[in-house]
Amino acid sequence: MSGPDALKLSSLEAFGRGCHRVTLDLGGDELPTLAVVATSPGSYTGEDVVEFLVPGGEPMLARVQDALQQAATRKGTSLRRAEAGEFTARAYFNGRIGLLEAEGIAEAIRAETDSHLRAANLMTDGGLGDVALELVGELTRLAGLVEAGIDFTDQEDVVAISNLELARTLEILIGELQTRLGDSVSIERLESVPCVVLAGVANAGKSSLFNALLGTERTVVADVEGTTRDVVIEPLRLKTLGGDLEILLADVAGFGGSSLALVGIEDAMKRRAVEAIERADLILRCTPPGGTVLRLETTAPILDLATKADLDGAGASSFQVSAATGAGITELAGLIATTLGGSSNVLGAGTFAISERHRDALQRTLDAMQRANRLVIEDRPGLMPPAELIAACLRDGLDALGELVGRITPDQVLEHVFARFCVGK
Amino acid sequence: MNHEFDVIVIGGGHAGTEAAWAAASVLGPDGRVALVTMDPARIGTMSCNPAIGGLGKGQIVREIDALGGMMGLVADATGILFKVLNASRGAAVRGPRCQNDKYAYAAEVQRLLAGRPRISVIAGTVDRLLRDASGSMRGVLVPAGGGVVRPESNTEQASDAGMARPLYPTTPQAADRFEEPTELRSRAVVLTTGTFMRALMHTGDQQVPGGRAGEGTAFGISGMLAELGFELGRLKTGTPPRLRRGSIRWEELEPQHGDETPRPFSDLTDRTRFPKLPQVECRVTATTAEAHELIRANLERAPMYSGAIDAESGPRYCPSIEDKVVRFADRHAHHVFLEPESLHTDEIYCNGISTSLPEDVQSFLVHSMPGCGDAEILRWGYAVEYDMVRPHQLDATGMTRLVHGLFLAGQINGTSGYEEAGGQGLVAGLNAARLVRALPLVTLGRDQAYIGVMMDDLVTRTPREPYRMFTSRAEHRLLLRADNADERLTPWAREHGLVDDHRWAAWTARHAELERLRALFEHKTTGVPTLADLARRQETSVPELSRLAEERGAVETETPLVERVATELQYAGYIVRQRAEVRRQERNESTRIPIDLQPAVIQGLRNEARDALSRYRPATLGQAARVEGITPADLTLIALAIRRHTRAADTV
Repeated sequence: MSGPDALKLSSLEAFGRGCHRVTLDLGGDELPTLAVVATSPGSYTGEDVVEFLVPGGEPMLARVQDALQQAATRKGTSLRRAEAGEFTARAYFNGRIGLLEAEGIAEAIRAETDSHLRAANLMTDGGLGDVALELVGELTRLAGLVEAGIDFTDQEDVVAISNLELARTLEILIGELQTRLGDSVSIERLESVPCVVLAGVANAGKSSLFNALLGTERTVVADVEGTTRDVVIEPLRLKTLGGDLEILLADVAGFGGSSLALVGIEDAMKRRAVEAIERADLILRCTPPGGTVLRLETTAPILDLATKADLDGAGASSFQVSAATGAGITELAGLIATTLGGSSNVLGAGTFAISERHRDALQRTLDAMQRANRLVIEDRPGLMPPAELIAACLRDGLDALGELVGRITPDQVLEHVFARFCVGK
Repeated sequence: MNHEFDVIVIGGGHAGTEAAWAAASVLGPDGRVALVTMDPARIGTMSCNPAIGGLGKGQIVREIDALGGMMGLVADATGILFKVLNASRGAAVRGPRCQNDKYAYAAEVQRLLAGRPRISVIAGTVDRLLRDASGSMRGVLVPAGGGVVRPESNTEQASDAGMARPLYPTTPQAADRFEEPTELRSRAVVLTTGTFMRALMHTGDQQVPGGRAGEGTAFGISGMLAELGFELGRLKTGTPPRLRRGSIRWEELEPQHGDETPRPFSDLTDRTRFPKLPQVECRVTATTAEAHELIRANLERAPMYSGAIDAESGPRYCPSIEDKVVRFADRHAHHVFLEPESLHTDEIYCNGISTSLPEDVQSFLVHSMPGCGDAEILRWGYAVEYDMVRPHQLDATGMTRLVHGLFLAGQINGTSGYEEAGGQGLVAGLNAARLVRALPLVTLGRDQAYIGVMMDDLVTRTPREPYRMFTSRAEHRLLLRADNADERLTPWAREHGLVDDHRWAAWTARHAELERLRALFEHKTTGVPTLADLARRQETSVPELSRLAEERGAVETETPLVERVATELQYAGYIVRQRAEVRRQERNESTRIPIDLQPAVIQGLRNEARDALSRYRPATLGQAARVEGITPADLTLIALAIRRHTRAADTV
């Protein structure tokens, strides 16, 4: 619970920050539990926050909620269910976290894979925020110097920035930002982990192959049709020339015969298997020696595998693979990566993750700095570089960055001028 | 006599006169405007530097002119040196400036006022503001001894025939004297106190009450404002010593000339008879290392530096010589510009050494400057500290939120400079007249005018030093140029009654001419590049473009108009981008924050942001974004609160 009445509602007014042993009254039944109290402003949301660690499952949770709701009515205050992301929103609105961090937390919650989670954490930790703030500082300084050269040229005391130094500084900033952008991987790309589905008739050896590719015993394998009763998904990291490629490998229930009718599995299972195949970016169609080739209606590319290649009669036209001997497994991994077009979707060291919005803002900043630089170095015989246009470009850059870290006002630029110069009338 | 007025303006400086002028324009022939001032003979005085315009300021003068104000006309009629600052830079950052004969300037202001009989000038020191039962303005109280003053009837424009004299007397004639405290009634009062509220002048450890050398101070008003609940502040500013020209070895010093072809500020100034007065030059000298040393040794005797002045801050951009010596210890000399204050007197203004140092130190400082060894000091430099009303208590219309019908303009709002004062006076006078005519009050946007930038800055942040304009304060600088002030503002001013038929006819003709030129520039002729192409390439000079325009268009062209069209073309790409930015912000700028939306009920707002909201009461979301202490996160919350009319803070 978060809000001004959180402590009152849980009768914890007398308790300070920390973890307390308390008893919740569930309409007659007493529930011993732990309450973690964090007080405003030093809590996650910046408000008073109470967390209950409740044993048991959903039903118990519902009873605790009911009890708290009743307490709220009794004490003349209100309590409602938080909307999605509301705790983080409150943290943001209360100034506990910045917008970039909030976005990072949102990404973390949605993260399905390790690299996505790491990327989200990078956003939360303010990696991008630091980069943007540093750029804001530099651009504000440059804009201040250029402005000084405009507004205080009647002042003997003001030495504005020389064109040479301006160009040099801009080129360094442009270079750094280009490197940053080049090294960054978009959150959207990290999110778009391709899904590779193992499909085939029942008992085609899909689960054995699944385990062989993962190198672990993840699914129950038995030589009985229909052993896999649900869709099992595991992340798998493949090596590619462009870095690591993370994929999701899905093992679905086998199909009986050559049609899509499932063997002994309920409609729900069937539906999920079909859905997995529909969502697939690549299908590994497994056909055991002598088995029927599963007919698939899908737009996803299909890679035909002759499974159980250690047995006699494996199809000669397909890629031969044996989970039992390990033959073809490494090659298969490579083949999957190549088929998926394999650019990396995994963060390497020194790279950072940005969303499209961030990339767009940084790109516009870069464009603005490049425009400014062109104006500085442009050769215009007999004319000075147009300071007011250079300043306009720098301001465009600051406006774009402002979308990441908040707006920079003309006043802040002037501050830089005053901090350095004696400006007489 | 009848003491009912539509608008009363208190103060006859640059803010007050523009306010009275604008109000009279809007009210029309039936309007009655009172201008109440301590000494009517001093109306239009240039208290400090006898110069108008400069970087950022020249643009304001052009805007005042485009809005039908006086300043540009007066500056043109009395200028003795015209120079565009930043002339080698782009049009958006050029600042027209002129030096004036200060006596001619004041006389010309008075002549223009005298030409409008609906403006009554009243001598007197107002010390009470009167309110009606509902708390709105009802009028002002002028003590006994005051009264209506009448200008001399012979009112010819300034010439070089002799020193200009004031048209208004200091005191009323016996028949016009108020024998007892007299109430002047009006529902709209514009207060422009300049540096006169509880003013104290310092030279060394000498202190004299007064807002300007040889003049008095206004004590009653600040007490009255405090009583009404206004939060007051205190600011300081300074002025340099004045020298006698004949005592300076003038010819030994390097001269500074005006522009070869001076350009007037006003669209109405007749270019064939410009400049009106003979042109002068100024000279440049410098301070010395020995003087810096003496100043350093005497810092504790300089009240502006040592803190004897209890004002929060002096100006950083017009610092005293004692401030410069301390802040820039590694410099051994600072330039000093010696500027004539009049064609007919010997007074020289020392631009660059404003000071509050005692007389013995000032004397050494002056006499150590090259060419000034025997200089006679006509008036010592001094600092003045005065009360201001913190301007967050205003709306960008110039009206206070606390007292309906009370408007403030000029230095009372913490600004510095004649131009800033004039711009505020114009806005306040316009809205005061609209208020009594029951018309909605109006504001200028940041993308419309420097005056709009200034009004918005004033109401969204508290000046910690006197506020002066810079071009860098305007994010839409490329749009807000001196050259296009008329096209930006005159139609708006016409719509609001500030522009008479004469000016409007001139505007219409000029606008048609510009449109013709624009078409001509884009006109395609086979085999040769268009004028627009030439202008964009910036390889053809403006005179050459003018010649080509005449050749191709067979119309008479004016160089400044050709230059304006060329500038538009050169800036076009950037202006498109700035306009896009204006549009992007438009939604915020046009989202009004309901007056009844109490900051206290905005869910989740940080205390600092709540305080800032209560203090500044921004009118729009865009303004809120600029208020100090409001972060982007706060803004989101305020936007949410506006949209859903907030429910009480709840627990989730």
